[in-house]
Amino acid sequence: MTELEITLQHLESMVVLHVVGAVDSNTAPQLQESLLRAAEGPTGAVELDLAEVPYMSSAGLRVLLLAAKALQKRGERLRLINVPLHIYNVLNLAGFTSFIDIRAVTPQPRG
Amino acid sequence: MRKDSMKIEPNVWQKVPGTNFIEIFPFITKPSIVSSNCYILAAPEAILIIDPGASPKQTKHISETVSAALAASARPVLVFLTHCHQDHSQEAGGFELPAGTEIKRFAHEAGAEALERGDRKLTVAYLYPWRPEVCRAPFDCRLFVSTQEESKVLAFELTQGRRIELHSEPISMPDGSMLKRLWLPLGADERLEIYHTPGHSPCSISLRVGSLLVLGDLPFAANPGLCGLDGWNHADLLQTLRKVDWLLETPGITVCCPGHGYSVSAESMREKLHLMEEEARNLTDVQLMNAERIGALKSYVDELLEETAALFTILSGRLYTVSYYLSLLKEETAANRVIATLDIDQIDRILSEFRRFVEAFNASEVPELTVVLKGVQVARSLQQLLSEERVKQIFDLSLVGRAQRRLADFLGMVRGLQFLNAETPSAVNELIAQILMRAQSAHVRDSTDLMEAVEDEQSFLDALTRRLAAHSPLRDIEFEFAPTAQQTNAAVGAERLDDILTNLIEGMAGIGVRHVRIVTDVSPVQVIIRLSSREQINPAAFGKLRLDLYNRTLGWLGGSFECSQQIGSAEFIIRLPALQAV
Repeated sequence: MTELEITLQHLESMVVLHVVGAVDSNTAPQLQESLLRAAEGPTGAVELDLAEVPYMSSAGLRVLLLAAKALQKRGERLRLINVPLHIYNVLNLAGFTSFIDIRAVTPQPRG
Repeated sequence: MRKDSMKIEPNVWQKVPGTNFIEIFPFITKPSIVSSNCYILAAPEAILIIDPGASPKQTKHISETVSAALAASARPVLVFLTHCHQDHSQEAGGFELPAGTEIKRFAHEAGAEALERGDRKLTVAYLYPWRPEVCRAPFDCRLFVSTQEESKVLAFELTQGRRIELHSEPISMPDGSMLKRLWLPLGADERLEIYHTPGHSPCSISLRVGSLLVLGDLPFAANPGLCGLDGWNHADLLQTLRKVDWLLETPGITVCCPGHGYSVSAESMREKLHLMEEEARNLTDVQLMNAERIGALKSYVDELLEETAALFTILSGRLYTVSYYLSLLKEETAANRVIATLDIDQIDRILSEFRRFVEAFNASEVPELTVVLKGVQVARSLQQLLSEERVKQIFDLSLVGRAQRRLADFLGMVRGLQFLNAETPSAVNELIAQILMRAQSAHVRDSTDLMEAVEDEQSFLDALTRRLAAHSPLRDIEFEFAPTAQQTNAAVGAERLDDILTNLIEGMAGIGVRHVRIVTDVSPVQVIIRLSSREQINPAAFGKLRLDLYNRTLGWLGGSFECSQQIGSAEFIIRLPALQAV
C-alpha cells in the first residue's frame, strides 16, 4: 500500500484522526497535511489513533514533532492512542513521550 | 586520443574504436542479475554475438538486428560467452535468423562442458526461483582446451570449404606468468583476441576487438553477494586482475565493456580494478555462496532491515526531540542545525524504499540474491551517511556505533567472510557491570560542561545540545544484578555482546519497564545471561525479526538467544560459548 487512509472524527472539543497504513517517507506528507490542519486549528485537542499503523519511520516522527510544536503554541499537547507497542518503544526511546501524551498502547497493530 | 574512442553508445550501430571495418551494436540493459548486456559486432567475415543474455524480449531484438546485418552481407554468426552464468548464456540457442545462417558457438571448455551437462551450479541457474532451463544449444567450439598446444592452430569447419582458425598465442607477462590468448581473423586484417580471465568463474574470458575490451563480469567479481558464487576463485581472480591491468596499461585499449552497465574508458576501468584488487586481497577464506546461504542471507536482510530501521528511527527521533526543546527555548537556528546533523530524510527514503522493495520481493519471483545485493547497496549508503564527522560531534556514539557495526557485519557476511568477531573476548560479569555503570552515569550528570561554556553563547548552546542529545533511556531503570562467582569469560566479542544487551535493556526501558534483573551463570561450556523483570515484558515491543537477528548473530558465534515466554512476561536467555583456557 502506498497511500494512507485517514479518517477524521470531529468530537465536541477534539478532533480524532484514525490512520490506516505504514507511515514512511512516501506517506508522511499525507499525514502531515491532515494532522497539521487539525493542529493549526484555533481550538480543541488533537488525538491520533495509530491502531492500524504497522510501522512508523522517522518521517512519521517528524510529522508528530511538527504537530506537537503547532499545538504547543496554544498550550495543547498532541495525544496518541492505540499505539502499537513497537512504535511506542521507539517513541519512548527517542524521547518523544516527554512532549507527546500517549493514552493507550496495544500489543500489536490491527489489520 | 579522440574522446569518442573511449565511449560506446548503447543500442545503436557504431564503429569499433581502433578498427576500420568493424561495427558494434551494444544492447545495454538496466543492471540486474536476471540478464546481461549483449554486444553484437559486425566484421567483414563474421557477425559476433557476445553474451546473448537471458531476456527473450532482448533475444527478439538481437535476432532482428543480426538478421538486418546478414541481409546486407551473409556471413557466419559466431556466438561467444564471456562465461557460462545463466544471465549471460540462457538465450544462446534462441535466435531466429534467416534460413541457411551458419551459427557457431564458442565458450571456454569448462563453461561449454557445464552447459552440456546442464550444470545448475556453475551456471548459477539455481539462483532463479522460476527454475530456468540451462541453455542446451551446442557449444562445439571450445576455447582454451587443454589439448591445444601453444602456437598451434585449431580449425573449425564451416560449409562450402570455409573454416575458422583459432590461433593460440600466449602472452608472457613481465612477472614471468603467462596470459593465455587465442585469436581468430575477422577479415580485412581485423582480428578478435580472446584472453582467459578466470576468477569470477573458471570459464571467464575477455574479448578484444580493436581498442575495445569486453570483460564480462570481472569488474564485479569482488562485490559482496557475487564473490563466493560457484566457481569463484580468489587466487585466480587476483592473478587475472594483475593481467588485465597490464593489458589496459598498454596503449591499444581505450574502452571497456562490462557484462552489466555502461562502457567506461580503459583508464576508469583500471582505477576500478585497482580498488577491486585492494578489496579482493582480503577475501581469503570466503565461504561459497550457494542456495542455502543465499536463503539465509535473505532472512538476514529482513532482520537487518528491522534492526537498522529501529536504530535509525530512534537516532532521528532523538534529534527531533533535541530540536523541539531548543525551539521551546526560542533557539530556532540551533534547532535547525541539530536536525541537519544527520541527513534524516535521505536515510528515511533509503530505508522506506528498501522496505517496499523487500515487500515487493516477497510478493514476486525475484531471485533472493537480488534482495541481498540491494541490501548491500543500502548498507553502503547508510554507512556513508553515518560516517560524517558532524554526526560524531553531537550524537550518542553508542547508538551510532551499534548501527555501524550491524552494517559492517552484514557486508562482511554477504562477502562470505567468516563472521567478524575480532574484538576483545567478553568477561561477561565485568561487561554487565560496565553497562550498569553507564546507566548510572546517565542518571547522575554533573553540570561542568554547561558551567564552563556559560560565558560564550554558542558554546553554551552546543553544550546544551549535547546534553539533550545524550538522553539515555537507561537512566530510570533500577537494576538488580546477580553475577555468578565463577569466571565468565566468553568467546564472543565484548562490543557485540554489549550491543545486544544494551538493545535489549533499552527496549525494555522503551516499553516502560523500570526494573531489570540480570543473572549470570556458567556451565562447563557456556556462559549464560538471563534478563527478566518484576514487570511485564512483551517481546512484541522488539519485533520478532530483531530477536531473530540476535539469535542468528549469537548462533554464528556458537551461542544462542532465546525468548522464554512466561505468564504475563518473558525472560531473555543468552547462551555464549565459554572461552576455553589455552
